[in-house]
Amino acid sequence: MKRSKKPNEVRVLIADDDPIVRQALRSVLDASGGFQVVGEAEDGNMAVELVKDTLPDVLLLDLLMPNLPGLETLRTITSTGAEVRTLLLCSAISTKQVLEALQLGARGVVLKKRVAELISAIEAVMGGQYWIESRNISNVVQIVQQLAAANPQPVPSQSRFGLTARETQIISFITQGCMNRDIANSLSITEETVKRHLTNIFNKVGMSNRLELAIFAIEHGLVPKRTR
Amino acid sequence: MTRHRNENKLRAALEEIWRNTRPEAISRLAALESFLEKLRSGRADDECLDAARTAAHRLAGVLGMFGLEEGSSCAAKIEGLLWQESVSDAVLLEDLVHQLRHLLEGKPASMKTQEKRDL
Repeated sequence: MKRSKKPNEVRVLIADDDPIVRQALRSVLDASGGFQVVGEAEDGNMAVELVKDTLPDVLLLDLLMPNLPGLETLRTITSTGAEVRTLLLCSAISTKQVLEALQLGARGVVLKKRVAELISAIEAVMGGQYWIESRNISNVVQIVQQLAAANPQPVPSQSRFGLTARETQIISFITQGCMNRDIANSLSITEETVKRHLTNIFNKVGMSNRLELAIFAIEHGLVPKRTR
Repeated sequence: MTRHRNENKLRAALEEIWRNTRPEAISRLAALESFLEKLRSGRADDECLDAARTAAHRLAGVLGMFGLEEGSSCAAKIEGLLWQESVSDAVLLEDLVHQLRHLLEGKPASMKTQEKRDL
């Protein structure tokens, strides 16, 4: 089976235990055009199997499902190395859960009551961005910042990853949502130098973008606790 | 196609699905009412509690999806009560289930207004 895709068509897998929700999502996608629903899963285990079998571009994953809950499903799918972009669907979600989902590889969260935003969300993640309740990536970094402020961090442990003091400084700016220009101005270096540092940092910690780096830094205590 | 036209299409699609699936959504109230009945008679067991929790959870999600915020909120409160260690406030639970049935079965015109506003 695997891929049989029309040009520019986004292949979507729907995972939700509620048949009415699955039907509604399918109808929304059909009405919008440009999407092919490649499968429907009614629990987490089935979602894992269908991701392997159908190789979707996007997985719409319910947060609360029987057998294997959404975040555990996400963890399993991520561990298989699947390249699917996962959008979590839920009635409500806490900041902590959002962060956990992002750490597990989710690309965004769509509240069920905001399902009309689904197409924009899919377009965003297909374009390499994140989608959190209509908010863009800078807001995701704000979420990371909030969590960093709320959770005391241990002494920075940059030595574990071979990070230099300067690189740790730059990571700290990244977790605050700073752009390259801001970092360059603050450190009196050029933007090109900032980019070189970032490339080195990405290589050392194995991340590929700023959001992943910010989350990783918080998770691993690579930045000191912010003073307020 | 403009985003506005797209959203109108989505609303139309969702309204049509809601018209078709409303009876099924209403039928989910039966699990809640069955649990209440057993609770009153002291025969409530884990199986009917699980069924009631599932029904409340699904109703909270699906009603929100169709723009029925009040119904979704009511179902979420019911779900919250059902997850308490023991369902201590049976009167409140009963009130909420009645309220939910009223919301789902009655006043379609006001639901329509909510759909337009929330979707």
